[in-house]
Amino acid sequence: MKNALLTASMTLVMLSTQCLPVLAKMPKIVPGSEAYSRVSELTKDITWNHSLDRAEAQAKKEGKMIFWVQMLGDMAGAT
Amino acid sequence: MSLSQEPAFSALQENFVCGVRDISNEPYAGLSGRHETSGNAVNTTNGAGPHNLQLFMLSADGTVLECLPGFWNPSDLVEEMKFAGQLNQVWLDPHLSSTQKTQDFRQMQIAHIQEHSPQMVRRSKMQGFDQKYEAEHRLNTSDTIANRNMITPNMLAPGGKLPQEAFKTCDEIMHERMASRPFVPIQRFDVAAYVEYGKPKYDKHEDARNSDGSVNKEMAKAAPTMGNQDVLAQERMQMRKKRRMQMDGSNSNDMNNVSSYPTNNYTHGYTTTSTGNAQNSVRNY
Repeated sequence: MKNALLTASMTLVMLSTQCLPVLAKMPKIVPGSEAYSRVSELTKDITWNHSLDRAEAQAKKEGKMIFWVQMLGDMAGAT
Repeated sequence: MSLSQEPAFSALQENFVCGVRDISNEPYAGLSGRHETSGNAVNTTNGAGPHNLQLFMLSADGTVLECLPGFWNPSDLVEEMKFAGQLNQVWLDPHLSSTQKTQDFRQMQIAHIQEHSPQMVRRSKMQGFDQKYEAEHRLNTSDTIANRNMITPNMLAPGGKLPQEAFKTCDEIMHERMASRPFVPIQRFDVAAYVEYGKPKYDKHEDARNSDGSVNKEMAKAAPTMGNQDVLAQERMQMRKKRRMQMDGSNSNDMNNVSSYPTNNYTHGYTTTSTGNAQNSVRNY
């Protein structure tokens, strides 16, 4: 009985450790609500110029560099 | 999006004026699943999805200091922002000649590869499907491959596995490509050639995943897409061409140079060479 229990528990440990690499490969999902919150912060707290000329003028005035994103879609909408 | 996460968010606010452009109509744009802002998201590796997203860091006059292709981890992004600041100092230095600035730019880009942390390098591994794409389509010409001799035909068969060591990491590829583009105005930056690696279609199927992270294939198949819809047609055309060449018994080297991306055939003012050095028309931003 004791041997059977020991065998069963060792099997469970082996199975679980074999499962870990498979589970570890699954990407971490960021839920939609959190993704929405992040995008909202990004678009509300930072002004995103759509004109490079305007961005350059502002950067020269403020002594900053320009962070210019080229992407599929709209930052505040579908991407 | 990693831009909203610290430390990237604060670094953006403090050091940069920000701008954005939709590249859906650009010939170099890839194809992706369409995701609303309330849809799920996934973290991925540095450099994944280069055709769909480019993060430029420019001097105030529009000169390109850095261009990060695809997704970048927020911490790694901040390190590259600091590096862009160093390059900006070189660009703005009135005591340096143009020749000296160009030389410094090249040297600094290559040297910076060695400054990347082991964690950043680990986060910059090319996606397996991108590696396979490069090995299948550009085995003899791709600058993403570190050692061609490590890649054998059986590795490209279904179920085959490519050795990670055969490929460079995206952080290395990025700096090497930047080194050959010293202080270029963004209007003349050859984006098409710069982002050319990996599959044109990139989609992690974020909105078609089950709770355990696995992909619901039926949902993924039915999901809408956005970007360059010609990508799929081009891929199909190239695969048909490759199959025809295989049936004709063509030389395997020829097949390895069948690129999925037509060169010297762009509209919208871009032309590129197969080595990736482009001669752009001036692009109006």
